[in-house]
Amino acid sequence: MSGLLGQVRRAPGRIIASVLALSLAIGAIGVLAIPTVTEGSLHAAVERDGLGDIIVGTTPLDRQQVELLRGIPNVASVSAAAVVAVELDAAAGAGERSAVDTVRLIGLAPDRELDLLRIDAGRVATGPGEVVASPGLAEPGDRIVAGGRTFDVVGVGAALLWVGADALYGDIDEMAALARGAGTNHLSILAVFDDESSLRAIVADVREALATDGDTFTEFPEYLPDGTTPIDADIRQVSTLIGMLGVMAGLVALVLLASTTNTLITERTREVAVMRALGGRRRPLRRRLRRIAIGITAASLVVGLPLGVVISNVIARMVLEEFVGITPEVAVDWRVLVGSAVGALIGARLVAARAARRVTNAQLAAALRDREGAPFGASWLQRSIAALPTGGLISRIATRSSLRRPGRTVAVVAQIAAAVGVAFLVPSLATSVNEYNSAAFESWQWEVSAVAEDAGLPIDAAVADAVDGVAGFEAGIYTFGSIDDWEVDAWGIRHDTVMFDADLRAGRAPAPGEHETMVSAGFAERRGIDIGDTIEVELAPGTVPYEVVGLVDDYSRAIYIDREILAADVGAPGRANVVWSLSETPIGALIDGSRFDLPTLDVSTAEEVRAESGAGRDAIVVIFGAIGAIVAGVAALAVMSSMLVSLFERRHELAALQSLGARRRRLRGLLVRELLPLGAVGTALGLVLGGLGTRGIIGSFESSNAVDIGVVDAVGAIPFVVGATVLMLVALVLVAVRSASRRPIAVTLRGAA
Amino acid sequence: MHTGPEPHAVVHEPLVEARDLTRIWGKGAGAQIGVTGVDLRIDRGELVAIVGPSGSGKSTLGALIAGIDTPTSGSLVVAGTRIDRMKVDQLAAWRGANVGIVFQDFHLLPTLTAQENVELAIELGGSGAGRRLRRRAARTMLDRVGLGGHHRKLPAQMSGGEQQRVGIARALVTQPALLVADEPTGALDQANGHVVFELLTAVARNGTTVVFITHDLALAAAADRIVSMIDGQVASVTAQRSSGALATGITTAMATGVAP
Ligand SMILES: Nc1ncnc2c1ncn2[C@@H]1O[C@H](COP(=O)(O)OP(=O)(O)OP(=O)(O)O)[C@@H](O)[C@H]1O
Ligand SMILES: [Mg+2]
Repeated sequence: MSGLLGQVRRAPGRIIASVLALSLAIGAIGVLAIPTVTEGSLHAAVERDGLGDIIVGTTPLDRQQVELLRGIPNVASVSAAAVVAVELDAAAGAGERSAVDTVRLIGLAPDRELDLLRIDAGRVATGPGEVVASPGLAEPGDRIVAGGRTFDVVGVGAALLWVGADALYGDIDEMAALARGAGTNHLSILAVFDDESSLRAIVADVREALATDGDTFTEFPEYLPDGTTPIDADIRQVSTLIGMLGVMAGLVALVLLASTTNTLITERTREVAVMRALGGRRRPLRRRLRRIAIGITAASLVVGLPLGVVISNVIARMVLEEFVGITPEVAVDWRVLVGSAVGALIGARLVAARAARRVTNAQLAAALRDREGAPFGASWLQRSIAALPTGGLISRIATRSSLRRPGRTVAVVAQIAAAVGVAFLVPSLATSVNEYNSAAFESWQWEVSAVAEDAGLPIDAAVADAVDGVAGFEAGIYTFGSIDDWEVDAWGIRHDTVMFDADLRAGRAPAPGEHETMVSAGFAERRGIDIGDTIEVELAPGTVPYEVVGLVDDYSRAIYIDREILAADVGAPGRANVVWSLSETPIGALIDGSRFDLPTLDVSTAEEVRAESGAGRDAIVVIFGAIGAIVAGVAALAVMSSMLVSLFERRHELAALQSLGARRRRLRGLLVRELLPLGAVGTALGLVLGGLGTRGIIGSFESSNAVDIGVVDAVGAIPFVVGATVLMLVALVLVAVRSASRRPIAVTLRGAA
Repeated sequence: MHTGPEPHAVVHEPLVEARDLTRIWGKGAGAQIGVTGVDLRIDRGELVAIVGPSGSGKSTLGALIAGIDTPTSGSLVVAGTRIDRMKVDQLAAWRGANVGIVFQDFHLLPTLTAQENVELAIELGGSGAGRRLRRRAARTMLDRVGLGGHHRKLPAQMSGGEQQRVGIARALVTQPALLVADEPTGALDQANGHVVFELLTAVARNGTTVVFITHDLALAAAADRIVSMIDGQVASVTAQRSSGALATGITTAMATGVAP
């Protein structure tokens, strides 16, 4: 330790720079912790707030029916709720505070074990007329009018299942009375064994039990196996991406770690030679060198580990707040923490051992003169290059110097490639996701889409027909189903629809009144589904066969069925749950209830939907941008540090050039000529790797989601990436030449430290 | 060993004029004195040896005269130019045009062949000579230092003596007014050292001012004048081509502990 302090005193700048570089490297490994920190926070929330393993909408059930479900094998707990979407009337206190116009009334049983409320302020509701409002909607003491009823807000809070939604949590009977058909219409079921197939078995049993009373599911059950959450799927995609970038960050960090450690020891070549000349034995010298490297790494852990925790938590929080709407507590991934500490120490030890061996084995005379031990002309390649005098002398020096230390040159090129690769990959992912989002909208022609908030198909058959009768309007069905355990969007559209202009890859649209379907081409391709096949689609009430007649390029995982057929198949003949409009203006008149008896609808314009996915994309871009900046920054730092080392090693050469009359412009010219090709090759390689990486990541998403996404390279980013690389190299050259000309040439050539 | 002093074409016109020249590193108590209060005049065409005990400031003085270091104070005029206050780039240009430097450990560019190393000096010297001319001049110079067959070799493929001869060819190819050599034979064996020294005296005979630093009094005895240094100061300067004075110089040098 005292030896280390001595080192710090002797060259504080250099040691501090090394510690910072190493800290950043160790901190960057923290990116690896983001997925686990994110999922950890979510799962903690799941445990705490009692989230079910199966979530499903039902036709109205009474208390006794729910009670019976508890007897089903493997069911640990069942909680029923009444959920109904209503208009939020401007009301005392809350009206001006909230920009929302519809709100979910959620009635929860007081003795439930699932869907517990997290109260941020005030208290829980204790009877009819009292509600807990979701954050931002109202404050305790406010009075709120919704669905024609007045509620006293007694608290602010949310249940995890509905987190992010505008909701009022209140008395179960009061809300059930407001729901269609009077009864609870929502089930949360907790299983003892919560693997996917056990959950499916429970669903089959529940379906059967409900059917005895003529009841059924009104929506496709949501399975949350193994403690996952409804947002997990979204989060996991983001997390996986982050994890991949994390691996990049880790690799780049290791390179930085290795080059920094290597530098620390190589710089001591002369010092070690002196000690050896004085009779120092190699073994203790090596041990000392290793100790210095490990000591500095250990010091870096003090800064680096907390930095990693901060990085992972800041990004995890960004992800969770953006995609889930919950603010997680600070979490630590101990595996990554311990792993990065141990990895850094072992890495430093390995690199240090190698470098120490090289330094202690260096030829004594050469080392004492502080000349580096890498002569040019040792290899056949170097000799043949030297025999081919092409270009100016300065260019020859530049080219040959790169060949002189091929290992280092390759390392620098690789690091530049890593930095460029990440810097290109991140915007490419962003543009791909962006293009994917708009491609998924392309076939839809509507300007306004109004989707019923409640489960089931709340639009009456007569209303649906009436809507169809208005020019520019059409009713439809948007629900979910499952094919081979892959959840798919199930669209019910009129056979003569003007809302969906299918981009058919093959086949045709379903004929009216037939059990036929078009399937997403990308999904069909990945699942081996062909035209003429009959696919079994599990819908809310059960499984239904459809013949595949068309494949559509829709960048989705969806099936398209004649609306009448789908309505009947989900047990609600003639009904619908969506109203589409070709133009924006008359939708208000249609949905305000004066012409049609429509349920509460969630109305959004095409522009809003696009903006929403744009916002999601921006969030992804910000998050990836942050990680990308870390990775690219660490890589750039690694390039800088190893380049500065090799330039430091060549200070005698630069001084000799200066003694011959070379001005600074010449030195800059030499270094530019030397670095530019490395930069060019590294950049080209990086762009290729970034492109391949984007394809790899998107490809893995395509296959894990069985959906076409498509890659769009961020060509627009290339000038910036190239510019940044050039800038970095220029900065490097300026710094190197500045330090070469600041010190008197005579001093450099003496080799005095 | 060597042929002894021969008549040189010394013009009595100063090439180097140092007044109160001082070079100190650091400040206060920890300051290291390189040279202090040096007054020295060297005429055109002279062959001057600088001798003195280790640490007496020989290399420091040589570096200042060659313009690869800058004095802390004092004035220094070399080849008609005041170089003590020059900017980095001006000084570089000045060196390229006026000085040739020979280092103890050669400092050849390791990635260039002998021929290319010499050509490089022409290119950086700023003479504006074309490529063909440069190549011819470099080849001629290598021939003159006896490396006719070695011009394609890389430094790593040459012996120390050969490398130093390339160093001398590189220093001379621009036909500088001044050649500064700091222990040019220090890293060489006796035979190689002798060849190199012969080259330097030959250069001086052709009119180039040569300042060389040496520990070898026998070599120093071949100079026109000997500058003896002690503790950063000039202790004595022998009179020109006076064998008596030369003897005094040698005696002084011996008294101050310079090993022959
Ligand atoms: N860069 C430097 N920093 C500090 N002190 C220096 C530096 N260079 C030289 N010195 C000091 O200046 C003094 C003269 O050094 P110089 O190298 O000129 O001696 P020298 O006569 O050439 O010795 P030698 O015969 O051993 O080569 C010495 O005391 C030395 O310690
Ligand atoms: Mg010296």
